[in-house]
Amino acid sequence: MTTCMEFDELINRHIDNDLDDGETATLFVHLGSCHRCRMYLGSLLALREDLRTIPQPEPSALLDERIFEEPAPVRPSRPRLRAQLDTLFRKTITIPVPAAAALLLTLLATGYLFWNVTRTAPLTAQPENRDVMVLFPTIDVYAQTQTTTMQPHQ
Amino acid sequence: MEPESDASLVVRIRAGDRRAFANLYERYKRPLFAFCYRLLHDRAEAEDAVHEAFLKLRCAPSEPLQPDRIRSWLFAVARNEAYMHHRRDGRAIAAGEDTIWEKQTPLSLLEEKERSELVHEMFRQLRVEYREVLSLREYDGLSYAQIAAVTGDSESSVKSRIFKARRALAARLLPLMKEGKE
Repeated sequence: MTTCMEFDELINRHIDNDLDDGETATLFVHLGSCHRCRMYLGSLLALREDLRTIPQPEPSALLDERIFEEPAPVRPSRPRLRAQLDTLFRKTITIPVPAAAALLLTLLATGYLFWNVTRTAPLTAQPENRDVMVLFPTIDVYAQTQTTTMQPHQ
Repeated sequence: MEPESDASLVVRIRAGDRRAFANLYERYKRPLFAFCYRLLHDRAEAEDAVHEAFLKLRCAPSEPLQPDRIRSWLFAVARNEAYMHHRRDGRAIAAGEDTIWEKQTPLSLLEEKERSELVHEMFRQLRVEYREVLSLREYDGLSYAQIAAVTGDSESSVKSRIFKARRALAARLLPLMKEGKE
């Protein structure tokens, strides 16, 4: 058997037009015999009426102005690597132009001199070997003895 | 001439039509503002919430899921903003508790005010999670399913909160009702 408390839900759904025909018939049969539920339905209908008599608040004209003002442009997010490269690029162009030109000229002059020196330098007769002999004469002696002892027999 | 549908307006907004945006704004600014005001009881904060909702629509018009659900989407965004204000102000939002009222209404209030004023006052004093569902149902005429889409709750939870809010209000109204009125 359905209790009055359970009919409360049907009454609520009834005022929200959420009941099917069968549920509506069941509810009205009960209402015909239940003073308490009739009072409850009456209070809900009165409540709805009272709520709807409350004047609706209106937004100010300031809201219209705020809505239609230009929003700040949204910068698209870039990949991290791209952002770092951009930063790097920004840093290189901050070097003063005279300094960059001086650096470039220095590099060119150094390159030219190096190329010129290596092209014109005389081919000396193995100075390294001589130095080694001065420093380690025993090596040379040993080499000579080896060559004499290693001569083939006549 | 029939007014243009929400779905059609949203399609035009996505194509960058400013006039469509203005039309949609005119259509929803009042109900959205009234809804937020009922939640916050503060005009400036309610306007902030509406502003944020339309700003989101304007800056990211492709974000709303379906053009035919723009109404629920706008209410949902405005509601979220209103809740953020609510939290910022340190007002309690915990749902699911037994209590329905934010404050106790003094009995003297019953004697001082006319009934409709009293209903208004009692409505204001409902906890925000009850106030929002009743507001969307009574003032904006949203169905249970639409309210669920706005609040992110299940339909049964929405129904239950509406019933509890009405029952609580009716319980305070019932002594004021004349015996003969049924």
